[in-house]
Parts: sequence; structure tokens; C-alpha cells
Amino acid sequence: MVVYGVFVFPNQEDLVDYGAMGVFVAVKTRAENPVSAILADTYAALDLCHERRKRKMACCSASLYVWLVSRIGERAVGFRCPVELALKRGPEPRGGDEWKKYFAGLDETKIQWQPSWQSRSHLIYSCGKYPNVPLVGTKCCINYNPVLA
Amino acid sequence: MESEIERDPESSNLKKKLYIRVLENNLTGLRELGQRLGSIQKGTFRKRYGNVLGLLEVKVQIPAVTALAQHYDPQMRCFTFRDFQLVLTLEEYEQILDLPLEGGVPYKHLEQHVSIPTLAGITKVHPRELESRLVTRRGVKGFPQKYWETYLHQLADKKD
Repeated sequence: MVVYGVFVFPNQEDLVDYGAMGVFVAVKTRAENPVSAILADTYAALDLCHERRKRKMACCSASLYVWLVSRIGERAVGFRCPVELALKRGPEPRGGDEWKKYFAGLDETKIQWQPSWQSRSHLIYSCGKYPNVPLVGTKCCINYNPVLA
Repeated sequence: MESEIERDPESSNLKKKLYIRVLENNLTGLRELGQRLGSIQKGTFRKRYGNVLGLLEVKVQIPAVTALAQHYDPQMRCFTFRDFQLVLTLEEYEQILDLPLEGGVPYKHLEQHVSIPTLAGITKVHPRELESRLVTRRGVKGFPQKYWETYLHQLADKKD
């Protein structure tokens, strides 16, 4: 529960958010899957920063970072999952300016388009007849449409 | 840690300068608690909550996350780079967390917060004690992180 409150769904510094505890209870007692909520909160945190309503980005930065690690750099062979890759072969440490330069110079040859653990052949990109997938998070609901991007 | 990055107008069509700070909670206490779990406990935890403990061990380069956030395009909900775009997908997140969505139910938000008696049942803390620990910071209700960490260490000590 504490892991959810301060790590997976952070909201305020050093505070175990009551809302995040609700997700924990849903996972524990109703066996609900928190993945869509984590993704929804990540998008919401990014949206809020860009709307300038919030300068502090509160999301599971470790998931976002592991995602990034799994998409940049050489092809990962011999790792079971993205987390193992990030733990054993994370990118070299860079400062803010170096990362900024790195992203500015990033081209499609440096990206992993098909990570080795991505074995599912079908992706979720719509919900019934609706063109979007609704994602329900702790702070908001958003629509997600990977086809548009 | 704070890192502020100015967008280079030459390299991108988004000319806004964004100041972003990533909220970083102190995870040392949680990592310590994670390490105190036995291997059977870890296995049980992983089955239900996925690879959260593994994720907790990852040393995140915060400047990478702040720089990445600068490339986010809120209209398209994707990250835009020089000649391509990347999008965060459910499928990748289920891999990262190691919690397959297939055959399960996604989280459903309830209007009502979890009740204190429910929390008391899970944590084995008296409802009145819980009630007294509840605080509100900048409009957010919750419990101080320190309180739970101390409590969990006490539980682990008892087991040892």
C-alpha cells in the first residue's frame, strides 16, 4: 500500500495518497489490474505539465524511465523483461543538457521498434465501436488512441 | 533534484519553454522494507502486484525523464522527436509491470474513497488510530510516509 502511495501513484512529497490506497485495495480485494490506471496517470501528469497547471510531474517515473530504456540503445538480447534490462544495462549517466542533446539528435535508427519481449500480436487500440480506449486513473480519465499517434 | 531544460527552437516545432520537476519521493525506506521480505513473500507479492519491487530498484536518471517530458505533445498524446513519434502503450506498460491484462479486469475508479474500517482490516491498525493519522496536504488526503514505514519495520521486527 505504501509502495502504491509514494512510488506507483505519487501525488505529494512524503505522503501516502488516500486515492492510491484505493487502487491498492482494488488490486488486493477485487483482483483488478492497475496497469491502465498507471498509464492514465502518466499521461495525465504529462498533460498537466504542458498545460502549465502543474510544474511538478507526479507519475510513476520509474515506469516511464524503464519504457524509455527499453526503446533506446541496442537491441536487448537475453533479458526477460524491460525492468531487468534497466537494472542490468541502463544507459550511461548523463546530465540534463546531455539528455537534451541526446533527444534532439535521436533518429529512428537508434530506436527499438520491436523489443524482443513484445510478443503479443494484437494490440488494444479501440474500445468496441469507439475509436478511443478510455483509461481510468486515480486523478482523471483520459482517452488513449495509439492509432492517431 | 531539479533539472530545467529549455527547448531549442531550431530542433523542434514546439517553442515553449517548460519547467518541469519530477516529484521524487524518498524510496530508501521502501527499498529497505522490500529487502526484508523473504523469497516466498516476494513471490506471493509478485504474483499479485507484478514487478513493482523490481521497478523500485531501478535507479532512475531524472534528467532523462525531464528531457523526455519536453518532447511530449499533449494534443497527440505522444512523444515527438526529429523525424518520428513514440507512444506509451498499454502493452508495454503491462510488460514493464509484469501484470497481464488479458483475462483480468482493469481498475475501476469508485466515487467513494476506501473506508477507514476497510483500511483498518487490511493494515490491522485500529480505525481510531488511522483516523488520527490522516492528514491533508495541499488538498490531498493521505498518511505520512514515515508513519507507515515505521509501522512496517515494527511488523518485520516482530517476525524476525
